[in-house]
Amino acid sequence: MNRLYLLFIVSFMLILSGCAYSYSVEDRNIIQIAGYDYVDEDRIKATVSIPQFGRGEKKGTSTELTKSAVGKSVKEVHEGIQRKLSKPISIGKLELSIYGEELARNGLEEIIDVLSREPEIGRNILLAIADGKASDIIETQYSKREDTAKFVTGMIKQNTMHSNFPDTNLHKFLFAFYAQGMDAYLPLVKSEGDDVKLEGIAFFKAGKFVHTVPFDKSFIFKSLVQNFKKGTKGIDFKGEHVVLENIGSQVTYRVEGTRTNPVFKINIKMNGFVNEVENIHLKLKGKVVQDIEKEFEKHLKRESEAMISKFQEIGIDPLGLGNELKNRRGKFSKREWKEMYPRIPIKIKVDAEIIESGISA
Amino acid sequence: MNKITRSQPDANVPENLLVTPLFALFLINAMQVGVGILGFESYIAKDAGYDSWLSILIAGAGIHLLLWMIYQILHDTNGDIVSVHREVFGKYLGGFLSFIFSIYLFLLSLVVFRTFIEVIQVWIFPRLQLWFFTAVTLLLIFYLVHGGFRLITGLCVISVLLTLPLLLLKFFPIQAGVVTNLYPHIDHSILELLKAAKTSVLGFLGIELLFVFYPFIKNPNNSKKWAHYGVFLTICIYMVSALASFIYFSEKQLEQVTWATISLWKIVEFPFIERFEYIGVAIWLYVVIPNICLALWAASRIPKRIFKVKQIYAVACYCVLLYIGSILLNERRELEFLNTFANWIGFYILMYIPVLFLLKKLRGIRRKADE
Repeated sequence: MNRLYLLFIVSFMLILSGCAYSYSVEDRNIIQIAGYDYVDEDRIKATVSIPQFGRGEKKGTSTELTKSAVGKSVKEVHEGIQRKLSKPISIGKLELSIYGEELARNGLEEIIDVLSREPEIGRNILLAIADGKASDIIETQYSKREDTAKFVTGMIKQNTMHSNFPDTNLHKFLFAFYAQGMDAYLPLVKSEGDDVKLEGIAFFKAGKFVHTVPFDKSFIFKSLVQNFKKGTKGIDFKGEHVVLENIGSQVTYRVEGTRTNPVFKINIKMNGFVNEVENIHLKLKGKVVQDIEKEFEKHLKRESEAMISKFQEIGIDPLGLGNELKNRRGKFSKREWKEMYPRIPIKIKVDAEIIESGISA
Repeated sequence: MNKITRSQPDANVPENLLVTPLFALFLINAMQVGVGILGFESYIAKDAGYDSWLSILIAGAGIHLLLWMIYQILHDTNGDIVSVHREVFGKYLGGFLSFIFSIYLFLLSLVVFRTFIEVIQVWIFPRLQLWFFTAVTLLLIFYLVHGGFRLITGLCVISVLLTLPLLLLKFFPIQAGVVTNLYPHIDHSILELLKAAKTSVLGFLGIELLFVFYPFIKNPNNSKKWAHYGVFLTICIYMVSALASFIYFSEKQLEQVTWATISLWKIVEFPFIERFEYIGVAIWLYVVIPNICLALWAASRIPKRIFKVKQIYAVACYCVLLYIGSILLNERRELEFLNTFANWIGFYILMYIPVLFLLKKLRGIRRKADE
């Protein structure tokens, strides 16, 4: 009997789950994109865009509401934005967080802390640096069919997945930010009138934005940092312009030498199609193909060497060579690495192979 | 109390309450995998960095050895910890030591319970009504423990089978991580590795429960291999979790992360669910409840054996204490202290097993010499 009572009570407790307060989508302001700008030494300005879902049957784009506020910390700024709104804001669906150039140059540490601490925010969200002001990017509407958040996020994502842009997200940023011997990089986005575009890659040195690489060089950077299967690269070949389409590129890092005197060897192996030749009379047969391969290898090697020596000059290590050395040789000291990094020999070997040249000879 | 049990001082359990030897695997594994696994990675990496996967293996080997000792001790006595203590230390000192063991088991359940509530507070409901949630959960726990050992065994089976598929989700972080983080270059001293092994042993706490439920296993001799399989499974689970975290996080980044395993769930994305950690934490209730139930059951079984009180009173008493304890502990700092304290005791309990083993063997030798 006693047990029966207990069973009764326990089974009634199941119903209690209905007592939890639930939020409906209409009652929340869901922020998908947020931008932060520099105001002065200790204040930042946040701009968010909130999609306003219509009640009607009309499909297509929703209207957007852009709000901004100024304050000392991210949480306070969000509070400031909340003051101007009729519903509470939710940041669980945040997809993209943009930082103004000036703010990034002054260091992002404090803002990054919020992102890494907040359990509501996913680890796959994108971060980006605005060339100019972040608010300009958020306040403009780019498409009639998509809201700003979807548009800008989509732009970065599709260029990462189907084109020359390297993988970035919050987790990768935090990984590099906290790792010893590795520096982070993020997409650099620019708004021009009614357009927004990927301007290039923004490189960080311990949380501060210090260097950029333009978008047309991002293919080279991408082939240095990851394996990928898409992207196109044009080179000059005997006065002609030849475009190679990458169908599979692999990069391997090797460390030779000792802990204090390492030599890095980076091997890039790339398979591709030639899919555009400026001179229509150039026959892609036999030796010509080999020559193009050679030329392409030379070009890629030259460009990546130039890029890396620039990194060494500034003292940033986006390739994570320090991390690699730490993993393979042990006993890593950040200070020693900083001193030796600019002088370390980094040898690049490119092995390109042109497999096909399209459906016409 | 019938005459048969009185004539035999050791715990004699009626046959209808016994479980088959196979269940030793689930009991041991379910007790070992608790809340510790949600965040042990950053603790072991503190001492030996990313070489600490070796420490897990060292600790695991130690646990296998201890398990062997526990079986030896119990096999000679053919009873539980209370009978062992009575045999070795006499009625009063032995009873006292058994009671300490009972308090330790209670402490274990308190740590698991309160830490899991903390996880819920931090990850899902920051404004959780602590007194209410605790009361409701404890009612459930009381009900389950009241159901007896066989019911708890069933819960353990569910818990193990339900959470094993969660390991497949480690695929996501491994895919996103840097595999060279695991490059086998050992640059930590043996001392550091052992220190990390000491920390990882705490994840394997739970085999000492065998001291209490040993008489409940039918043909305990056959259960040996299953118990060892259970420990091995635990080591595998811990190993996979640690390796996945080491691949996914950079070494300094892991120091910033409190619950590495839950953080790994964060990047799991399916078309139908965007944040897996909510599901993960909810499923983890199935790990935590059997864990607490088993610990509470064992904790209350000991007073029953020493003082001959009804077990239900001991359970009720411990449940009230559990309630008070988890309400009073409110801050992260206090919880950290509780965790360290329980781990400290747990470590010494484990260290106590070889001592008991030696005492027992010595007694056996002396008795043989007397004969």
